[in-house]
Amino acid sequence: MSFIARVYAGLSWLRREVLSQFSGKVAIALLVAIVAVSIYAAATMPSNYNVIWNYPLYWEANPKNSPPEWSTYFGTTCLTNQVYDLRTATPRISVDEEGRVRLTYNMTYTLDVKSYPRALILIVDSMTIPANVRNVRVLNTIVKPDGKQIQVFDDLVDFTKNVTAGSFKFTQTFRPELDKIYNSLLLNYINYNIDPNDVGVNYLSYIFGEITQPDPKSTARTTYLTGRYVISLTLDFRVEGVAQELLLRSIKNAARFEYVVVGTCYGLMGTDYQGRDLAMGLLYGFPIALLIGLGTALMSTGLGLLAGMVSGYYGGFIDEFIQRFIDVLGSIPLLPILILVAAAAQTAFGADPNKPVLMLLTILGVLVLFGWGGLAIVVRSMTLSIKSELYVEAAKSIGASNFRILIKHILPQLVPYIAASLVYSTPNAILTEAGLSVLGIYHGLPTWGGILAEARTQGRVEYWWWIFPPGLLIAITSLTFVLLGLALEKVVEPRLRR
Amino acid sequence: MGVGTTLARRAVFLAAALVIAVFLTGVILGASGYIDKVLNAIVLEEVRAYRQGLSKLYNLTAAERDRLVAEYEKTLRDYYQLDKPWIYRLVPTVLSTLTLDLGYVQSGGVAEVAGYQLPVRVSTVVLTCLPRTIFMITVAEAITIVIALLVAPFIVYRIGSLIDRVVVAYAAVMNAFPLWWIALVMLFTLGYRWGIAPTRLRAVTASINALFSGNLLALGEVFYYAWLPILTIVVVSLGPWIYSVRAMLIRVVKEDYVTAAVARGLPEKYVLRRYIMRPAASPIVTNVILGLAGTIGGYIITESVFDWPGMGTLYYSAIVNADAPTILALTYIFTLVYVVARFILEVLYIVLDPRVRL
Repeated sequence: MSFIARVYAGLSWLRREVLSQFSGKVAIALLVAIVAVSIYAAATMPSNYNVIWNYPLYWEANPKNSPPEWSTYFGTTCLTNQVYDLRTATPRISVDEEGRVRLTYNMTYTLDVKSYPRALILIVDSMTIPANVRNVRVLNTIVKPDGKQIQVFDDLVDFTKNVTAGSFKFTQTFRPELDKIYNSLLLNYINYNIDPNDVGVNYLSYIFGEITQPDPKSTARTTYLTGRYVISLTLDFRVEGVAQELLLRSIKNAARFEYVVVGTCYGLMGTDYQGRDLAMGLLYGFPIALLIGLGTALMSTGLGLLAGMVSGYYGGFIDEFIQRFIDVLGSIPLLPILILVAAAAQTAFGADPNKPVLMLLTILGVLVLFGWGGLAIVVRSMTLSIKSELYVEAAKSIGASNFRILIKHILPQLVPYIAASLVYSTPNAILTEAGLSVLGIYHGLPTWGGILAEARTQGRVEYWWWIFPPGLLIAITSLTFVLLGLALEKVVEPRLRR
Repeated sequence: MGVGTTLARRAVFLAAALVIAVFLTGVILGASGYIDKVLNAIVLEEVRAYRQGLSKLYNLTAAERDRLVAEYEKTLRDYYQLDKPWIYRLVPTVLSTLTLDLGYVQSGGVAEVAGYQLPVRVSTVVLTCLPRTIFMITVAEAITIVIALLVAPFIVYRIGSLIDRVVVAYAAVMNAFPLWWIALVMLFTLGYRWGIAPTRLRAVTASINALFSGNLLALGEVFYYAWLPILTIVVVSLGPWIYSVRAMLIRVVKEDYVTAAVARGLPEKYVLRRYIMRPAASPIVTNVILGLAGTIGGYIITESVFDWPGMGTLYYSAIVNADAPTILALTYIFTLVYVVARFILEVLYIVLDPRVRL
């Protein structure tokens, strides 16, 4: 039998043994699921994911620290985040004789829970403004269910400075302007005593609320006003001989052109303190976790296998040296040294643009360095006993090389131990990486541990949607390998069988 | 080789491991530039604060102020010995650490963990933090071990029964959950949500100080702060502990002589004590001693989650503040405890297992 066939036979026997047990079945099912999600995540992950994750502007329009939308079934008052993608909307177009092109977007917003939205934002990202567009006036008003009209913002953006040489990319965020809101409140509620300071703090309750003033001397108060709001956004372009089709096309091709009524709940998994979508972080955490776990396990298992076989097969001085080395390594406390190395790496790579990756590699490197001793000892004793078997003697006497004996006769018998070692050490790296992150030695990559770490540094233990899911995912991944190990244990140690 | 030679050989290698661990720590601290960077940052910050303080004194000329600032900076740099290369600074510290001369704490932040102000000896700080770790983590580990040693023999006769399956499943699940995450969740639910447990555990310092000054009633207060961390550690580590003791016992239970003893009709307890526990003693004792020794270093991450001012928090604070004497001293102590435990085990093997003596 060829070497590959023997290893394959060993593996398929192992698979049968594992699958014959309940814990093995559960473990394999979980493993298949985790690998499938990882492959999906790796395939859909944007190439600049790490940059996006750490880029606050990208998440600007999301509510911050918001629970997931389904928390409404558990009694949280939930206002869904409403995003109007204006690139696909059809505006009303009017052109006046002076050449102004006016685009008006009307959006209806239904407020059906007793809550106020958290913010209003218009995001324009990379919209190509054709040459000869002088300026644009961006005007936003909201008509309340009771018919009162509030002006939210009114901005004039001048392009003449930028459009000297052809077209340019227009990127800007528009937010409510307090003076405009206050002025339209004064116009609409003439006999009310509206406190400008309160408008400054709670302007959203004045836009999305009912304003009452029971007593003429007191100040006006706001209460929730559910119903249908009409949000109207006008873009008034001052152009010189530019066709409106060109403008519409550039709007359609913008990277982002959205009006967002920021809610109090977000998506499947909620958001963190920067408004980042936790569902995204958790999903893309899958391949990273597997990579960290399996990569470290493969390296330390490979090292342990090599050291153990060399130590057991050649014996003598090299055996003594490797065994004493393992002894010393085993006596050094791993976690303190690891924390020290990671803290040092954090400072040493401080200015490096690849700091997150370098730091992670350093941490994993230390784990590999300290992680191979156990397997090496087992492999050594196995090798010692196989070495004295008759067929090894026979192979030697017909002139087989040491390398051939190691590969053909010894290695295939070690397959269960190699598999067990891989399985035991995989969750170790994932747990350690997460633990270090939580401690505050955070590399900056969006791993599950990283998400947990930020939940802790923000001191927000009450945000359950931020603490529970990453921890549970770490635990489930680790449980998969623990169960697999449990099944393998009975293969490696037959005395444990019933 | 005689017993004495074997023990002597072990002692030499364990001592070598100890020296290597401390030297390695020193090299990591120095060669990575970590100490220099952090200390330079600290000096910079202190000089800035000093200059700001001086600028409030109007009767100083600019030149005088600059001179004072430069003098202050020099004092600080001398204090931290920043003008010498790291090897000249750290090697003496490493050597004096190895001779148990632990020196003085360098950073105020580290001293604060133990509740002191500079100047204070490292040994004083360590001796203050050690009881706190023992009261929480060692006690929790000891409770876990006692329960595991009581439960495991009970289920070893019932392998495959419902209770055995439950224990194995519990062990597997608890093996998968990181202790510090369960700690976060416990603090969140029992502490913040339900308000049953205290959430500011650092306050335990006062109670432990009171306890040591002779007020035995303070023990109740210590327990008031410690019960949540202890419960957490017991809940998480009990599963794996029972599982490992169970596994050690099963190996013995499967032996023919045990089957023969049971077949002879010997009482279950007698078989357990004489035929099972005795041969399984040395791996179990190994686990117990190494487990207890491991608690002395504190569970660094878990202590940090609970904000428990023990050895783990002290070590982490020393790292954050780049306090070389404290880091080296703690690495030395952690390794020493482990190495001594290993040596005690070597001796115990000889006592427990007559075969080793041959």
